[in-house]
Amino acid sequence: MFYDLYLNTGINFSIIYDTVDREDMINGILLEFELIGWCVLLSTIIGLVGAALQKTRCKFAIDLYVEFFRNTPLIIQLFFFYFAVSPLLPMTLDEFGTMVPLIGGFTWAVIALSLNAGVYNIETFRSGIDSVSKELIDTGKSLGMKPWLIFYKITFPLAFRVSLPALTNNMILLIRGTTLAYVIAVPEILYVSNQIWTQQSNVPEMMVFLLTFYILLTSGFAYLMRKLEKKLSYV
Amino acid sequence: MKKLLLAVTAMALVMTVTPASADAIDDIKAKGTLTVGVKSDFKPYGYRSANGDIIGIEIDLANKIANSLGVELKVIPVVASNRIQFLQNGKIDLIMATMADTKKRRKVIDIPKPNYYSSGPTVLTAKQAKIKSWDALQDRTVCGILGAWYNKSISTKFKFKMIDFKTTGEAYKALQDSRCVGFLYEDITLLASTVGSEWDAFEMPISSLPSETYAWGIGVKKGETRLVELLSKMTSSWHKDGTIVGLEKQYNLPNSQFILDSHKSAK
Amino acid sequence: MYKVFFSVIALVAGVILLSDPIVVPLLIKWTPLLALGFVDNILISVASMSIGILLGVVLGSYQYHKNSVVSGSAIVTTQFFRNAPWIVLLFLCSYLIPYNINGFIISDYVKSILGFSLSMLANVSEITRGVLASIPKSQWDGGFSLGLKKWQVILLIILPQGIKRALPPLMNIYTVLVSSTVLASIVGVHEILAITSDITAVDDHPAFFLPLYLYVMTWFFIFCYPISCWSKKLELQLTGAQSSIK
Repeated sequence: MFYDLYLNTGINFSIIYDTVDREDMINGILLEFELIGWCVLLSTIIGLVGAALQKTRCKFAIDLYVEFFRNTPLIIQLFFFYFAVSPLLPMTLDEFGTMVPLIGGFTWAVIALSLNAGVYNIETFRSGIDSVSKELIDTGKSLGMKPWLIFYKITFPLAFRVSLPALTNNMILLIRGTTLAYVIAVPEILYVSNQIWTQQSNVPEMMVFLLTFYILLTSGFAYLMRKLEKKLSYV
Repeated sequence: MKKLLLAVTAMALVMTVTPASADAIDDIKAKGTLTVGVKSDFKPYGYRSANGDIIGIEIDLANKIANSLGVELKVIPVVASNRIQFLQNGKIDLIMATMADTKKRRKVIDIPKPNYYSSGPTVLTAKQAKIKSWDALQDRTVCGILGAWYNKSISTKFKFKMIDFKTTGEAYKALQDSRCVGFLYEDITLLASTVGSEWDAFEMPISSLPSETYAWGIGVKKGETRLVELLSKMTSSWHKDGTIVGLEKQYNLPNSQFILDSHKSAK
Repeated sequence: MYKVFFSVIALVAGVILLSDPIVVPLLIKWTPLLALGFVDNILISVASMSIGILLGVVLGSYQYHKNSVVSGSAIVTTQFFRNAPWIVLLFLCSYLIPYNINGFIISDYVKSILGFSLSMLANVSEITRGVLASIPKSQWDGGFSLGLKKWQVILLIILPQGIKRALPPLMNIYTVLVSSTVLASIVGVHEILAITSDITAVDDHPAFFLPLYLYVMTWFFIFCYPISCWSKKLELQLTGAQSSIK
């Protein structure tokens, strides 16, 4: 049906009627989800760890990391890790017996994107933790709870709930940032789209697809997070 | 949700509208400039000289076209992934950027015949990988340029994986970093670009496939019949009087078989 | 703030000085060209931000329009351009806007400004919405009860408060914009990242890459960090408590 659309009007959605393009795009979408999944997980962990270490001696080092990654372009961070840092790491042997870099494009993309998004998460969780009122913590202390127990039972649940809206925002920023992985040859959907539109010369159609995809993705994600928020507020 | 679909459909409709244009030759003469999209990283067809200007075989040919129209030449650097779009939206009048003449491209742009050049893709491989044939590349990783039309056909045929980059600089660096065992690219430019000691660890052992050797075409906006005719005549005359044979010699290239054959058959 | 600022610069300088001796002269040689490129990045950011603020404030206030079609479209437009990845918007503008409209040439530079402006106006619209929502209705009522007309209330009461509240998030989104202007290199603008690529094509000494990228990143840091600090200070003044998240 879409092929007829192409023949009749010139509107070319080859990703639907052409088997090769369709397969490539599906793989691209799956990879995109994989990339997002890893980055959300890692960056949340970075955020929690960074915020938890807020009151310790590591605070200054964390501040340096936060401010540097916040105020420098993400795309240069990607190039930096892939082209500049990677050659400094030891090489390894692949299955064919040749020496190859230890870390590939996808992994570097996950690392760079997570470090970048982690920065915003640290700020978010810091605010969340700070917003837990002192009285509640004092209550815990007066009950004889150890500091880690206070953190686990009181601070963390409250802070997490408060942070959820801002966390959702950060994750949406992250999702938008994953498109940049294409500059280090990670075959996510922008990469695949670019390959397809140079072969098929159907830029407008691919643009519509890309925009629609990202809007649906971010809306879907925001919807899920709001559900999570509602669920937690009854705990 | 409905609002969302409406917005997306509206955008789709807006995007399929293309601007109209008058006859290209008249426009070019009125402007006084012929704007040609060329490569700026593809020695010796289009590359940057020491002082930053873009020079090369295709620029010289473009100059001849501009002279015949009695206008100045302006060159704009393009890459595989944007040259057709620039032609279509009017940024450039012609494409002379090592572009392969393919059926799919002829659907969206016009390409005058005869073709002015031809080449084939081959792989610049790392010596340590000991690749001696196309088949040896099976299941390996090969670097490429995002948007090169032969990537898909060759990688599917010989079943290897490709990682594509936007610029040749990045692809060469990835090859040097051993992210791939080879770089799939034009045979002639690989030859010209890889002089120097840092390339000692690399070689080009595989000859281009006859089936993938392709002719290059000048890109013209669809429907510009007068311009296509003019360029056809010019290309034929270039082959007849050996212009391109001379240019290859001038840029220290061995004369390619296609150019010699075209020159012979045109006489 | 100074501690972090100078520590980062010291660390980067240390890495550069400790690397291969060939690096420092190369960096010095290329600095003027890089500086020219960086100026382009800043100009693009200023232009896009200005257009974004002008159109975004209007769009943001339309989200509260009485007519539900108007307010609905305003909301849809805002969400649409807010959620689109910036690079896709740039490609959109680069490929689909013709180069030549009736003799007016629209360069890549201009197209990238348009692309960024699209995103900026959506973000500013959202900020405006948030700011308007945060100003208590009593302010409006107070103004009307004094006999002021609507435009007077807006100009004399709402606007001063609104601008103060909007400044921190606006400054935040501006620093994000500045960092994002490097994306313009992908659509052909000759700004600092494009120049960095050109440099590495000419001087591709292996030891040069790391210091070069660090160097360029530090320029952005030096420009953006003070702005983000200032924005935090303003926020503290506003809330009088801990800084909020954005």
